[in-house]
Amino acid sequence: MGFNSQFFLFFKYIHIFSQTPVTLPLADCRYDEDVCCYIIGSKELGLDAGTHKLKVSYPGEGTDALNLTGNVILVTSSLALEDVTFDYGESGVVNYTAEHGSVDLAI
Amino acid sequence: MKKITIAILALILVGLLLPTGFATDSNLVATYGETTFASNDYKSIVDAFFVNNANVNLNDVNSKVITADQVNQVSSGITGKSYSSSQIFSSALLDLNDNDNLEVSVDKSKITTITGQMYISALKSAGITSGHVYVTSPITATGESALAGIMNAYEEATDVEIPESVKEAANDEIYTQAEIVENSGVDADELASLVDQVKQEVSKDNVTDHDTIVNIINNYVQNNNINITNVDIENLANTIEQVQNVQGDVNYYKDQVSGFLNDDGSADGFSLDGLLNWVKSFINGI
Repeated sequence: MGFNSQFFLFFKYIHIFSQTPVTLPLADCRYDEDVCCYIIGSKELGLDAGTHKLKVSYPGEGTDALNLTGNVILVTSSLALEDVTFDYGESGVVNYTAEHGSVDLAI
Repeated sequence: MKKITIAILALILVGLLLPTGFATDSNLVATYGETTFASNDYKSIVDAFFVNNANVNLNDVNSKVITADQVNQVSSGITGKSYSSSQIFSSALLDLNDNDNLEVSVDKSKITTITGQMYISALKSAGITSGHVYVTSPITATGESALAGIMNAYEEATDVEIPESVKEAANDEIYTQAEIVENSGVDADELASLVDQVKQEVSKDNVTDHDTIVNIINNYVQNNNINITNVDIENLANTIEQVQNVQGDVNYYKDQVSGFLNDDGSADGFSLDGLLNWVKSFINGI
């Protein structure tokens, strides 16, 4: 079983509570010259399609605010290749899947 | 005394006509891809490029957002592709105060496919021959969506709508070249030069026949040892033929916009220097 599959299974069901940060490892994230792409299905996250503000924090780098547009989170390469915590303040329990994929072509 | 009174009245009149501190310069228009506009981080990267390269104060700049829907209206008819609102990054700034000729400054560190020459060629296809355009993106992007924004910026600055047929032809030119660069690996500058040369030759002889355009492209390709497929050549011929076929609309648009973009290269928009010169000559004439 490759790392991707293990990763997928490990994060297939994660219970997220209000204001409870969820740590997502970016170790397997694809890096481009300027962007690291991390794809999360917005439906599985329990968020409506559209733009959502996410508070993103990362060790030693302070915090930043990024947008989740559709089902794509774009994280700038200034983030270290370390765990990233998403704290989106949704209430209740959400089951979601997280998987890696290539970024849609930016035009 | 009478002369001074009239001069004061003239200055009061001018004061009434002067734009307020909040007014923007109608000759400066920025268009942001909607993905860029949705993120303060991305927008600030783009704004920094505009400020540093165009030497503008962003408070003077009018701004518009180019949405995926707008882009898809164009791209779906050309390449059959459509894009989501998370993919529209390319952004542009039009400066019509820098109006001696048509110049496009592309942020090559971010715009990976479309070159400055390609934008210039497509804009000329649309009858646009002056202004300084800056193109960038917060992350690497092909640059295809920028043309929609640039033409939108010209419409905003001149208050003259570009005919749909002309927009389609210009966009077709950009998207076709992008496809060829991405699929065939042709050097972007070589391709841009090919398109420009063939368009000039076709325009000079007013060629509209498809086969003749294909022959002209073939000759250029062979003479310059450019490695593109027959499908690419067909697609190029189609787009150049389309540009030729909308020349009537292009000429109509050029007539409409000539009031804003003078042949001598100066824009007719508000200019403080022009106003002061007018006041000076008015007072001297009293």
